[in-house]
This record gives sequence, structure tokens and C-alpha cells, in this order.
Amino acid sequence: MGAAQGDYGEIFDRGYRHYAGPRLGQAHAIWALARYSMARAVGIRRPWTAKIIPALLYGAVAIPVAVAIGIRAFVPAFAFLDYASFFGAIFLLEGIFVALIAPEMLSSDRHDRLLPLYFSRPIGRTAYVVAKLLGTGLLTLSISLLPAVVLWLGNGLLAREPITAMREGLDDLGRIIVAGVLIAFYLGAIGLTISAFTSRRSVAVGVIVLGFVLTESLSFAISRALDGQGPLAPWVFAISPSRTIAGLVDSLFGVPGFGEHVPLTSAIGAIVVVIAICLAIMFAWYQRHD
Amino acid sequence: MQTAWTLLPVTTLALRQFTGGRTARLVLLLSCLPALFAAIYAFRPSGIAPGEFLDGLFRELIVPTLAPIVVLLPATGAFGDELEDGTLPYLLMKPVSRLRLILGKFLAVLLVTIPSLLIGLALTTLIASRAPGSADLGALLLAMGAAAAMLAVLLAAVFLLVSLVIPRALLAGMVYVFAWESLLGRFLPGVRAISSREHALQIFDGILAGDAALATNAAVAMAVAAVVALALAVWRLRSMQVE
Repeated sequence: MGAAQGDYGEIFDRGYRHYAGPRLGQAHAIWALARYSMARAVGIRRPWTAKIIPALLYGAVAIPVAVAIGIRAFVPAFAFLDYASFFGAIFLLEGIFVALIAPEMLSSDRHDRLLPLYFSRPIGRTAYVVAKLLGTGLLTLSISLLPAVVLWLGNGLLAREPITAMREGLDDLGRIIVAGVLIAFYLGAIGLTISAFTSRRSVAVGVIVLGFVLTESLSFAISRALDGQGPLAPWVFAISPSRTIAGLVDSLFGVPGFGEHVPLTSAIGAIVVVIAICLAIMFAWYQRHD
Repeated sequence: MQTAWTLLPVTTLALRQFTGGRTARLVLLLSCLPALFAAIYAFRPSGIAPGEFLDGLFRELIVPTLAPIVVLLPATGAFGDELEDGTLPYLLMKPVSRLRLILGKFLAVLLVTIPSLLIGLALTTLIASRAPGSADLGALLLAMGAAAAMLAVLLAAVFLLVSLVIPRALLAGMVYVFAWESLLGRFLPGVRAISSREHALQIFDGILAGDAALATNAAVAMAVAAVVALALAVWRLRSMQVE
């Protein structure tokens, strides 16, 4: 039975019904896995206990934005929260958010021994990693980019002449998008790489959060020890995600930063190099193991 | 004597789980991380005495972040991993009272964390003492060790309880360590009265300044809190629904 029988290299036709619907291809498979992973990570269709922490984090990001727009609505002259300090303020929340979702993306599949099931389907090893990265990046965007865009929209719409104000604010919007996208994929790639190595969600969470905190202190300690001398001194900031992001945001929005100044190109360069290293490690790891 | 004997199987089982997985290695590795800071400091001391450096490191890094997370990893894993793997019912089926289960796991957590913390502190002190500057680092090491050990006792008991009440106890613990103790402790001084960090630092200061009353008061408060948490954990383990 079935017209597509010629597609199957079967010796016996046991009379199983074959799938005769449209073949949606690799891209659809990747998107389906990414969408499913995102829903799982924030606790959609899971018990309410899995929803508490994501909801708290979204709330913690939404409150400052709402307060800033509210203040702006009543006291137009008072700039409560500019974009640079917004990105600085939410770094800790983003770190915890990535520590929440990245282990959920990879460690759970490992723990529940789902990988052989995935890899026996059209989702291959590369496609699996791409889907998980896509899911993590998009979810992290919802906490790094979305609130900033809402803040920008609020600032624009509350101006005396919204259309001109928004047209003038377009380069701000560009900066917000660059910062939001880079931060999301940077933190997401680091979190995923760490969680790829353990099947225990809790261990991955601990290593990610502690890693963000310790690398910052470590990088400051090395900076102090080198004291600006030597060829490597300008690159010490790249050890620490928080210093890299602070450098990126400060130079992007032209705010005099805390401590020394990091040129925009080296901040972006450090981020891109770290993302590339993380991707290389993950692709190699998933090709060889499991 | 008989109590200790019946605790032993639970403790060895939990210890084997910690050493078999990555937890024990991770705990030891994290505990020794301050030595890296000490090495950077010893490489270029820039005029800071070793005692001053160790004091700052202990106050700013070890007590607020490092020690809590070192304790949280095994403490939330002791029952949390069994819940996640669905092996808790098999443990509960054994003819061992709930009290002994809790005490056995608690002991195992302490046996993993306290030696690791002490090794890390000793290593850090040893490396920092290479830098020039005279100080009695022995007393400092004693104070640091006592404060870290008491902090481990308190947090291990509290987070055994937390891991029995909510899933993802480690994440909740992180939020507690960073949000509650760091942010609220800075803005609301009242929070400090019930902050584990402040009590650990009181032990540290008390031993260093020779103020025995301060150290003892803090240690007793922490011990009482630990006992209460353990009692609540026993009650929770008796009443919880495990499938």
C-alpha cells in the first residue's frame, strides 16, 4: 500500500502503514527541537514548580523597565534608567537565567538517555547542537533584548513628538540590538558548553554561576598583578564574561566605564572568539561521544 | 555507640555517591581555587601584607560565594539526586529510621565539604605566606578554618531541608546566596541578623580578636539553627509523598 513505497528499501512488505505526508526537511526538524527545548526550559506544559524560577526572573527584569517607563511618563525630564546601566544591571539576572535554561537544554537529555533516540532520527549530531544553541540564544534574547526594546519604545512613544524622537533614536535601537544579540549568544554558548559535559542539572547550574563570579574576581586579580604591563594586559578582561559585557556596553553606548576602557573592536572580538571556541568544543564533543 | 554504627551504611553509601560522580572532585577543586588567587598575589604582592590579603580574600570571596556553593553542591545533591533519579523510595524502604537517614546524609556532606575547605584554606595560606611581610598566619588559618567549618555545618543542614521541599534546590540556593545575602544584606541591615555570612564572620572576628564570647555566641546560634533545620528535614521526610 502507499504510493511512496519505492522510497523504502524493504525486502518484505509487512503491511505497516508508511508516512505519506509531506517531508518537511532538516530545517523544520531543527526548528521543532528548538521550539520544544525552549518550552521545556521555561516550564511550559510542566508542573507549576518548574515555572516559579523563570517567572521570578522575568518579573525581576520587567519591574525596572516598568518603573523606568512609569517615571518617564510622569516626570519626562528625569532619565531614570539609560540603556547602558540597564544592560549593566541585568547581567546578574541574565547569568542566572542562562544557568537555569542551559542545563535544562542539554543535561536533561543526557540524564534521561534521550540522545540515542534523537540521533536515530533525522536530527543528527550537528543539527542537535544547532537546535539547542538556537533555542538557548532565542530564549536569552527574550531577557536581554526584549526588555531593552520595550524601554526604547516607551522612551520613544512618551516623547513630545514620537515619530521624530523614534527616528532620532534609531541608532540607539541599533546599539541595543547589537548588544542584546551578542550578549545572548555569548552567555548562551558558554552555558551550553558547560552543561554539555554533565548529566546532572544541578552540577551544571553550580559551575555556570560560580564560573561567572569567580572569573570576574580572577580577572581583576590578574589585572592588578600585571598592572598594565606586558602584551597580554589589555586582554585580561576577556577571561571574565561580566567584564567583557561591561566593556562592550560601555564602549557601545559611549559611557565612561568603571576602571579601564576596553575598545569596542576588542570587546566584540573577544565575544566572537569565545562563541567560536564554545561551538568548536561542542561540535567536536557531540561528534565523538554518545 | 550503636547509633554511630547504624549511621555508617547510609554515610558510606552517600560518600560513594559523591566520590563516584563528579561532586566530590568538583568540591575539592572549587575549595582549592583561592590558592590560584594566592598564587597571583604571591607573584606580585604590591605592598599588601599576606595577613591583610588573606583577610580580604576570606571576607570578600570565600565566605560570601565560594564556601556556600561548595557546601550547596553536595547538600542539595544528597537527597536531590535520589529524588531526581527516583531512587529515594528504595532508600526509604530499608529498615532505617528517617532520623538516621538524615543524620547519615548530613554526616556524609560534612565529610566531603569540611576537609576540602580546610585543604583549600591551608593551601591558600601556604602560598600567600611566600610573599614578604610578617604575620602570625597560624591564628588566621585557625580562625578561617573554624568559621568555614561552622558555615558548612549550618548550610548543609538548611539545604538538606530545602532539597526535600522544592525541586531545583541548588538554583534556589544560588538565588539565596546572591540575591538575599549580597543585595538585601547591603540595603537592609536587619537582614544581617539572620544571615549565615554575618555569623561566620563573627566567629572569624571573634577568634582573631580573642573575643571568645562573640565567637561562641555566633557558633551556638548557628548550631541551634542547624539542629532545627535537621529536625524539620526529618519531619518532612516522614510526611512527604514519594512515588
